[in-house]
Amino acid sequence: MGPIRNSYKFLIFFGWSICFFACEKAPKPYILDLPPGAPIPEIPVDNQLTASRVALGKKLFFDPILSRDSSISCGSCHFQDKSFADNRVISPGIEGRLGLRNAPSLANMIYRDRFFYDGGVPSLELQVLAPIEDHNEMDFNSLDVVERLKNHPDYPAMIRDAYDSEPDVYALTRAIAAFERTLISGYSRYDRYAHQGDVNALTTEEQRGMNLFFSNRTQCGTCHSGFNFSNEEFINIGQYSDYTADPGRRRVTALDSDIGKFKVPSLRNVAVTAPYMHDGSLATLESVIDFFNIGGQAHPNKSPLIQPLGLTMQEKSDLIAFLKSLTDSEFLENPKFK
Amino acid sequence: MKNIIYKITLSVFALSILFTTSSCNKDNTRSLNLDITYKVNTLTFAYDEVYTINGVAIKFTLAQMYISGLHIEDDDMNEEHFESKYLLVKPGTHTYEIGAITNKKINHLHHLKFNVGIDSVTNGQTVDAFNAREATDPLSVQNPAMHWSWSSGYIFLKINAMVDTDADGTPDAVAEFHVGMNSFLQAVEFITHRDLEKGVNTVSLNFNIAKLFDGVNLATEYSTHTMDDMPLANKIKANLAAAFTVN
Repeated sequence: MGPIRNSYKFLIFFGWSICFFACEKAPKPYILDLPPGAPIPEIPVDNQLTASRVALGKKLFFDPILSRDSSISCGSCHFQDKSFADNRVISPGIEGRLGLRNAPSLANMIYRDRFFYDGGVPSLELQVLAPIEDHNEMDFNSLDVVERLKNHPDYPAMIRDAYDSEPDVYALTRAIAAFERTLISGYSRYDRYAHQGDVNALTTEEQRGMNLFFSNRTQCGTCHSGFNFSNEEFINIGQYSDYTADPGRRRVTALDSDIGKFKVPSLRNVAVTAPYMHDGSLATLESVIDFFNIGGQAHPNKSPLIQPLGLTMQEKSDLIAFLKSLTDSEFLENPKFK
Repeated sequence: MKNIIYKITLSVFALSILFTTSSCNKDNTRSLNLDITYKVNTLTFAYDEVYTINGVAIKFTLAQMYISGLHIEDDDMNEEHFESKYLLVKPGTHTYEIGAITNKKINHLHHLKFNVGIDSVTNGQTVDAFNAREATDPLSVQNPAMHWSWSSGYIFLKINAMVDTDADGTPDAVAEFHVGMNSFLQAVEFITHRDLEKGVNTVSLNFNIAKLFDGVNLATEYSTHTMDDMPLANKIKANLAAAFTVN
C-alpha cells in the first residue's frame, strides 16, 4: 500500500503543480467596462488588455520620467476631471515651451483611429512617441526613456510581468496605449436616455437641443455621429480664411485640398474640455455655437455642411443644454483612472 | 591492410577536394563597401565647428541620412540590387558594408545608384515594422530619432545646426532641416570606371553638406520639417544629388 499511496501523493502534487504554474503563467485579463450602447472595440492582437499591462501603462502615463527634465508626464496635460483634456489653450511642455495645438480629450480613444488633429499617426501605440519626442512637449527620446526604465526600481519587473520582456520601446508604447484604451466614457445622462431607456434622464430643454443637434437643419450629428460623436473624418469648418499657422491635414498629405481640415473631435464630456477647436481659440461652448451659427469664414475647402444656421437664443441655449448632458461624471471621477 | 590504406587514401583525397573547393569559393567572393566622407566644401566636417556657408556662419550638431535602394550595373546592363540594405549614414561612420556581389556577370562597376531616403513600402511603417526591429537595424528606433513622431514614416535627412541670423558671426539660432515623406525620396547616381576585384570593392564618396544649401539664405531659411516649409525642403532635396561626388 505504501508505494501506491506515494504514487497518489506524487500525482496529486504533480497535478497541483501544473495547475499552479498554469494559473501563474496565464495573464489576468483586464475586463473593460463597456457602457450600454458602446460598440465592441477592436484591440490589436499583440496588445490585448491585461491587468498588468494596464497597470504599467497607468503608472507610465502619470510618471514624469518620460520627459527630458523629468518635469512633466502625460497627465500634466490630460486631466481626468477635464475628460483627460486640458483647460489651457496650449499646454506647456518642459521649460514652459508651447506647441501648436490644444490638448484633446482622451476619452474613448479605443474607438478612434488616425490620431492627432491631422491624423498623422496610425495607431495609439505609435502616438505615444509623439509627445515624448516633440521638442515642445517632453523633448526626449524613447530610447533614453527605456534606459531610465531599466534603472528604475519597479519598471523592469512590471514590464516583464506585462510583456515578458526587458524594458524597450515596444513595451513602453504598448503599455501606455493599453491604459488609454481603458478610458471609456458612456454613462452620461444622454446615455441613460439613449441607451438605457430612461426617458426622464434628459430635461425638456436638453431634448429640444438633442433634436436640433441631430436635425437636418443644423447637421451637427452628420459629423459628430455614432457612439463617440465623431465620424473620424477631417473637415474644414471655415474657422479661418488663412491656415498658414496650421494647415491641418495638409501637413500629412501635402494636398492643398486638405488645407484647414482637422479631425472631427468627439463631443463626449465636451462641457468640461474648454477651450475648443484645434488651437483652443474659442473659450466657451457659447462661442462655439455662435461660430457655427454664423457659418464660418469663406475658404475653398470649407465643408458645404457649414452654413449659417439662424438659431434663436432659445435654440442656442437648448443646444448647449444638450451638450452639457454628455458629461459623464462617473468617468471624470472614476478612481480606476487616478 | 590494403583495404585500410585504400580507405585512408580515399578519405584524404576527398578531404583535399573539399578543402580546395571551399578555398576556391572563398577566393571568388566579391563584396561592395561604400566609404562616405562628410565635407564642408573643401574642409573636413566636424560637429560643433563653425563654418561659413553662403556667407552665413553655421555650426552643425547633427547630420544624418538614410540611404537605400543601392544598385550597381556594368556597361552591359548586368545588375546587382541590394534591396534589403538600408544605411543610416553618419559623419562618425566612414565605411558601410553593402553586401556580396552575387551576379557573376558583373566584372566592371559602371553605374552606381542609390536613394537618399526610404522606399514608400518600408516608409509606410506598421507598429511592428517600426519598433519591433532589432536594435542594430538602422530602421529601428534611433537616438537621435530618425522618424517623425507626429506622423508615420522616417526622416530621410536630418540636419540640426545653429546659424547666425543677425550677422554677428556667431551661430545663435536653432536650425532644423528635416526632410522626409515619400515624395522627397531622392535618387543619386554616378558613372564610375572600376573593375570589380575578388574580395572587398570599395567605392569612396564625398558628401559635401554645404552643397545642400545652394540657393538657400541660411540667415532667413533655417527651419523645415518638410511639410511646414516645403519650398525649403524641396531646395535641399534638389541639391542632394550634387552634394555627393565619387572619388
